Amino acid sequence: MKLAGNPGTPLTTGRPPASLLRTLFEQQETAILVALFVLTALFYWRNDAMLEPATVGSILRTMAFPALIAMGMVQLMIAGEIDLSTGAVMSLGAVFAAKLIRDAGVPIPLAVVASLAASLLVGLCNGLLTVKIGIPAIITTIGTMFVVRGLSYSFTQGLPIYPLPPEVGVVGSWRPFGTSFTFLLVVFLLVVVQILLNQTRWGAMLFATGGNKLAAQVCGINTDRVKIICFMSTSLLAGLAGMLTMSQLPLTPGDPVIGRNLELDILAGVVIGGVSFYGGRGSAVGTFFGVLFIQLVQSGLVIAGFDAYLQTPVLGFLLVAAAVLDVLRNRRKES
Amino acid sequence: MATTITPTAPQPAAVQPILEARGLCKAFGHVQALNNVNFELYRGEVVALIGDNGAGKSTLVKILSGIYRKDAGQILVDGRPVDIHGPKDAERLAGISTVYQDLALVDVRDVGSNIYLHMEPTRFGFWIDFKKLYADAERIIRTLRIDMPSVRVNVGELSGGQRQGVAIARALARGRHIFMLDEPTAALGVEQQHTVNELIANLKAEGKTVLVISHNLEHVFAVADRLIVLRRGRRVGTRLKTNTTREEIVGLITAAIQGDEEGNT
Ligand SMILES: Nc1ncnc2c1ncn2[C@@H]1O[C@H](COP(=O)(O)OP(=O)(O)OP(=O)(O)O)[C@@H](O)[C@H]1O
Ligand SMILES: [Mg+2]
Repeated sequence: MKLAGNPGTPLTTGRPPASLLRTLFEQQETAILVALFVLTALFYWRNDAMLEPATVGSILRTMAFPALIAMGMVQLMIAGEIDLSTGAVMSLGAVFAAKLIRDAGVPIPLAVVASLAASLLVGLCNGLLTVKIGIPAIITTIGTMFVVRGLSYSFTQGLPIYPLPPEVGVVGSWRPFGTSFTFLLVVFLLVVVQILLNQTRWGAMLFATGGNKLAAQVCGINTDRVKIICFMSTSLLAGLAGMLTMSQLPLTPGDPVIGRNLELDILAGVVIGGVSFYGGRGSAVGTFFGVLFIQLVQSGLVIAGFDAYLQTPVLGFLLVAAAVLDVLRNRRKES
Repeated sequence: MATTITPTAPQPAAVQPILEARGLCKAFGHVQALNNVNFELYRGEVVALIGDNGAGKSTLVKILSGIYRKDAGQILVDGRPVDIHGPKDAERLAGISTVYQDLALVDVRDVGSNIYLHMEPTRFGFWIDFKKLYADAERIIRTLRIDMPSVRVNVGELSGGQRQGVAIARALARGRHIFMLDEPTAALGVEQQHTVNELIANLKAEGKTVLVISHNLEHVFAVADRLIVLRRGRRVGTRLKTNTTREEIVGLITAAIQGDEEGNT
């Protein structure tokens, strides 16, 4: 576009351009990082087992499952939707694969693929019901949560499926640097998703879809498709996380209780990590720290000698607190 | 014959409208926003679409740019009927780019990312080339002479006029040959309004076609070649700027003067 006339007044430089450091740490990531340190110090002060390699490794191995799913959830929530069926899909992922392996004699790799396909199907249903029919995602995914969890229990009559061949446990018993395969996968995905969000057109599509759907559409973005892809990848990761959980458990049972209540850990972690319920905001790094924070609180309470039953109320409290922060942030922006 | 409705085409060569609509209807519940409206744009002209609040101007623009689906009617590009199902079709089939009245900006993203949304320059087709993106965005903002803190500031932090500037810049960045501006100057200061007028004149000089919606008759008379008046979803008048007066236009808008196409469409 060539326009006649002089180049006009220069842009006034009212604010410095965002530096790498600033984009990395200006937002919730900084706060959550500080909170992580403070909390660790507090628990360490109560019990110096807190920083023993075994403890740290155990915390990282446990947080890896919700964190894996959160790498899909962060994209879904940036696009303005939510998924509460992830814990249930974990269960289905594990149970379905276990059933195929034990009762149908399906080779492990094939069972894994079939189970991932089933997870994708759940994600597709979540996406179609939400996007095409227009049911709020929170309702859709609570519905599929019950359906999927119910199916998983009825497949198994509520009992864990075992014994499974020892090969099922190979991936789960690997302890690289005292962590786990799942944790390494999370670190890898963390880098990938962070790059996707900030450096690629896919990220731009996500932020626009969640930030202002109409604006995204007038620029030619197929927001329905974007959201469906997000639902499907979140479910896929949930199914995968379910199987990895199974692989890591002693005796590697296809246990229908896998992933129970985990959707709340994920949601709390993602929101504490700075992802907005309103869509259009969030980062992979923040999400990782958020999920780590949730896990640290839960494990730390036990390590520091508090009542283990406090874990659940504290989790609920943190979820609400994060939501309050989110609302305040949004309100300040609107005024 | 829709072409005979207009008094004269602005240029003798432009017999075939570059964009034409016949018998457009659109209802929202009981509100008939557009009632059997014909519309035409000739290559290289500037048309002002005017009418009172709720006359159906934005509805017409949104149908032409693929945001709303029409209830009835036909859209033709260079005389050929086209199906416009979305903004992408409008851009691809008709070369239309639009500044919407509600601007349709992503507040949580910065100026550059908004201007080049979904047409970001990339390396290897995947990585966004931010250096080029911001440089291009800065250049386009400069030509609009809109005072902007930086192209890296979030659109949500801008003033109404600055936001309007971003919306115009976005339309320019993706513009091909037809520009539709729905009240592009409503939130602009005097100097920026002037810039937009100049911009429209420049687009015209480049052979582009412009449809502008405005309530500001001074602005309309400054930029437009032809004026189309809508009243309550009907087209009630078409005037060449050189053949009309403000009084007549105001009369057509307010129904003080009977519309000349009333009952004959
Ligand atoms: N999305 C919608 N849903 C329901 N009614 C609508 C919608 N869009 C427009 N309308 C109605 O259609 C009619 C025409 O609206 P439109 O926005 O086209 O008017 P306009 O000429 O652009 O007015 P203004 O000058 O105020 O922008 C109005 O009565 C309006 O209430
Ligand atoms: Mg309007």
